Amino acid sequence: MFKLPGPASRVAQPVKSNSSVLSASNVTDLVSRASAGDNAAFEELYRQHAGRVYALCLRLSGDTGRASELTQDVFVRCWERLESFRGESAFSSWLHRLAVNVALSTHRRDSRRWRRVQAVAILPDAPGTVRSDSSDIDLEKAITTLPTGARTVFVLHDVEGYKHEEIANLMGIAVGTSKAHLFRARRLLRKSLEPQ
Amino acid sequence: MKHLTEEQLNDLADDAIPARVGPEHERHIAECLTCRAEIARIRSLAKRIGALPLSIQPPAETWPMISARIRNSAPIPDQERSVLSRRPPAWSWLAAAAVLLVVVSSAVTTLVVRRPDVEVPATVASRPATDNDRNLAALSSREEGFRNTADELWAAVNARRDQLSPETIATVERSIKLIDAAILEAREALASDPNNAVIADMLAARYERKVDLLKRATELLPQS
Repeated sequence: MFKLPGPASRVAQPVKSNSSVLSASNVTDLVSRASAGDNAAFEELYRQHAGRVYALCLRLSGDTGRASELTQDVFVRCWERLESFRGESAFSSWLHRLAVNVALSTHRRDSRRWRRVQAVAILPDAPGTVRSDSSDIDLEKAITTLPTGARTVFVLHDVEGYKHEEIANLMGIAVGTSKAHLFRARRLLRKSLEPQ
Repeated sequence: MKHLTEEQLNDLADDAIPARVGPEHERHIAECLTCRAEIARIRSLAKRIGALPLSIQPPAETWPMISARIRNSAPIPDQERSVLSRRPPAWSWLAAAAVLLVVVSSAVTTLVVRRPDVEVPATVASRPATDNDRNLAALSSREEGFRNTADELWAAVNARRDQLSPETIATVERSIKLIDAAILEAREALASDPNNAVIADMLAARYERKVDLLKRATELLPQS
């Protein structure tokens, strides 16, 4: 039986950038310098982690322009709060949780403005994006067509590896509601992707 | 034969077997092709999801925008953060913010203009007509200035649009379209109620928003 990895295993993995695996000491040094106001160090942190944050924002929002704006908000918030990072968890985990919070709070604030977009308009291939086959693209497009609540829970649970209890806490919903959203999302995706 | 519920099927597919999936359900799965097929379909989907890339590179202009927003500001020390709940960004090249403002102000305009049962605050309604006349005359002059400036900026962006990413151009065009619609709405409202200073202010604010958005767009163009 398959088991999707939990958030810790998916979030805290060393982030690969430019074919190099980042060491924890390197990240700690960068965080330390950035929190002292070193913009260059912060840019390096951005380079290392932007792909992960953008992918999350893209899937949660379903819109490339929106995802770029959310990514900006996440890193600006990160810059503002760097001193609160105590190193108790991996920086990537801390940043990931911050990104989820920014995306969800923005979503709540602008919920009326969020809308599903034409699937054909999303997810252009960007440099560094590895897409092995067209079925990935079909799946990504199908994810964007999900209703917002179902998409959010689906991305957090099935893509990012969060547990229902964590999602319920983050979204302010009941665990049962989180499960209902997930099951609906999976049902809709299967319907959308499987040959009729 | 009673099939398993959707929750039970998903729990089994996730290998999260709770107590409620008891021996009777296991027997059912062993005998029921439909439920087994359903579990296999859920697992097949999960396998595809697991293969999705966890990292996708953002558009190239994302970092310059972040850099501009954090420029000249140091991270907020912890003790200050507890006082300042959230520092507003130094400037906001956020098309979303522009759009949001337009949407909010559009809603306010609609409420003010279309709802006869809503009482306009006395401080707004009782502004002397002479002031309104002066305001409208000033607005007319400013409107032409805004229009010229916006046209020039848009022409500058348009001439070098191939130097911006398609996503940026799409965001700018989408925002401009929304702002133009809001301008039109305010102008129509003003035509119906020429003495309404609140609407005149809204119209001016929307022109300012448009010019501001276009200025930000020109700042994104590479230095020539």
